[in-house]
Amino acid sequence: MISVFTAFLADVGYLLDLLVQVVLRFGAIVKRRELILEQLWQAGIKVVHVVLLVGVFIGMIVSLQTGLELARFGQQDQIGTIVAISMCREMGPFITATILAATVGSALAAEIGTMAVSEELSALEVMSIDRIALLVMPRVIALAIMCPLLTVLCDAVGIVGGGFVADSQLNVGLSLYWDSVIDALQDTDFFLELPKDVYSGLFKSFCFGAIVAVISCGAGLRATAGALGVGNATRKAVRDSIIAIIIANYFMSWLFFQA
Amino acid sequence: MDATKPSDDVIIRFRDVHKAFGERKVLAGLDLEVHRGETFCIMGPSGCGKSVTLRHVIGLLKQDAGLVEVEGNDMSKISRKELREMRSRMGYVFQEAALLNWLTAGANVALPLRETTSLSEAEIELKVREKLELVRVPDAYEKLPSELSGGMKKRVGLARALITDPELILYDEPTAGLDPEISSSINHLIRELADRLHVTGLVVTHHIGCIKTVGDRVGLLDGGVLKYISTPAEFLTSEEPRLIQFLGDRLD
Ligand SMILES: Nc1ncnc2c1ncn2[C@@H]1O[C@H](COP(=O)(O)OP(=O)(O)OP(=O)(O)O)[C@@H](O)[C@H]1O
Ligand SMILES: [Mg+2]
Repeated sequence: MISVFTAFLADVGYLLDLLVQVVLRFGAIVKRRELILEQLWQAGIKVVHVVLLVGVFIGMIVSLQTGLELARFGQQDQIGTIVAISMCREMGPFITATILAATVGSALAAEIGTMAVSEELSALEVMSIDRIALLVMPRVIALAIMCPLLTVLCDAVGIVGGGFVADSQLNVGLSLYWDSVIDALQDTDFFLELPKDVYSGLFKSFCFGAIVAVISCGAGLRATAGALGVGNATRKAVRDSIIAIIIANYFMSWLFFQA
Repeated sequence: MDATKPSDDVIIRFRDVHKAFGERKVLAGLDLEVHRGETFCIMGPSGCGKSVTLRHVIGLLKQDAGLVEVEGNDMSKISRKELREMRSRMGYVFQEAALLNWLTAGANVALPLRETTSLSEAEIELKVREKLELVRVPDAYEKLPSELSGGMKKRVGLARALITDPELILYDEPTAGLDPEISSSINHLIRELADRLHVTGLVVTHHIGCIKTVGDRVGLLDGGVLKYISTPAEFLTSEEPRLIQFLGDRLD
C-alpha cells in the first residue's frame, strides 16, 4: 500500500518535472516550428473525424435526455440552453480530450516508447541532443493548441446534433432552439469576445491537451525494454491521461464557476 | 601497441567493475585497459554483457561497484557538463543502428551537427555526403530508415557516429549482418581511422575477419570478466580449451 503511494508520488513528481522542463524550452518554439506544425497536422488528421462523429451524438444524447424530462414540465424551449451550456462547459472539452488521449496520446506513448526500447533515446543522449526539446516540447505545444481547436468543432456539432433531435423528436422548432442557444451564451462575462461558458471550456481544453501530451510522452520516455514495454507505456498513458483529465476538470470547473 | 605504455595513456580503464540487473549478474569484476590510439576487440557469447560494457564507457549505465575511468575521469563522479563535453569527442555505433525513423538517413547523420554546432546547412550537407560515401551508402541520403536494409542502416549509424570526427569510437558489432565484401571494407575503414587519425576504438564483434583486420588486442568476455587478452594472432591460435570451444568452427 505504501509502495503504491510512493510510486504514485514519484510518478507525479516525474511528470511535473517534465512539464517544467518543457516550459523551460518554450524559447525554442520558433526554432522547432516545423516539428510543431508536423505534430499539429498529425494530431488533427488522426482525430478530427472521431471528434465530429462523437460530438454530434453527444449533443443528440444530451438533447434527448434533458428534452424528455423538460417536456414533462412543459419547458422544452430550454433545451437549447442546456445543450449549449453542457457542450461548451463540460462535454466538448472532456470528450475531445478523452478522444485525444485514446488516439493521439496512445500513439505518442507508443512512438516514444519504441524509441526508448530501440535505443534511439540512448543515441540522442550520447550525441548530447536534448530529447525534451526535440521530442516532448513540440508535442506538448501541438496538443495544447489542437485540443481547443477540436473542442470548438465538438461544441458546434454537438449543438447542431442537439438541434436536430429537438426539432425531429421533441417538437421544438429550430428557431426556438437556436434562440435559446444564443440566449444561453449571452453571458455578462466575456474574454476576447467569447462568453464565459465558451472560454472556460477552451481554457480547460488547452490544459487537457498539455496534460495528455506530458503524460503520454512521459510514459513513452520511461518505457522499459522487452516486448511488454511499449504496450505497458501505451496503456499507462491512456489510463493516466483520462484520470488526470477528470481530476483537473473538477478543479478547473470549480475555479471558474464557484470561486 | 603493448601493455607497458605509461598509464596516462590509458583512455578507458575498468577496474573490478560489477553490474547486475536484479538477480542477473552481468559484469563480475571486469578489468580492462584501452590505450590511446589502440583498437581493442571484445568477443563473447550472446548476452554475456558486451553491449553493457560499452554502455558503461559512454555513461549510459553506471556500475554497481568498481571503477570506470574514461580519459582519466571517474565516470561515477563526472558532472553533466564534463560528460557532455567528453561525449562530444566520442562516437557510438549502436548494435541496432538506432536511427530516428522519422528522419531520412541524411538528416539522421546530420542531426548531431544541426543540434550541437552552428555549421551552415551547406557545410553540413557536404560533410554528411562525405561520411555516407565513406561507409559506402551514398544513395541512402534521401531515404527513410524504413526504406533501408538492416546492413544499410548499420552503415548509416556508423556514418552518424563518425560525423563529429570523434577521438574514441565504440563499435557494437559494426559488421553484423553485412555481406563479406562490405564487412571487409568497413573493417578497413575502422583500421584506417585508427592508423590515420589515431582514433581509439573499442569494438564488439563476432567476426574473426574483423579481429584480424582491426584488432590490436582482443579479449573474451565470459562470466562477467575479460579473459585471454592478447594480440589477435595469439588469440586465434591459443590452446586454451575455452577459447577453442568458443571460436569453434568460426576459425575456418
Ligand atoms: N537495461 C537492462 N535491464 C535489464 N537487463 C539488461 C539490461 N541491459 C542488459 N541486460 C541484460 O544483461 C545481459 C547482457 O546484455 P548485453 O546486451 O550486454 O549482451 P551482449 O553481450 O551485447 O549480447 P549480444 O551479443 O546478443 O548483443 C543480458 O542478459 C540482458 O538481458
Ligand atoms: Mg549486444
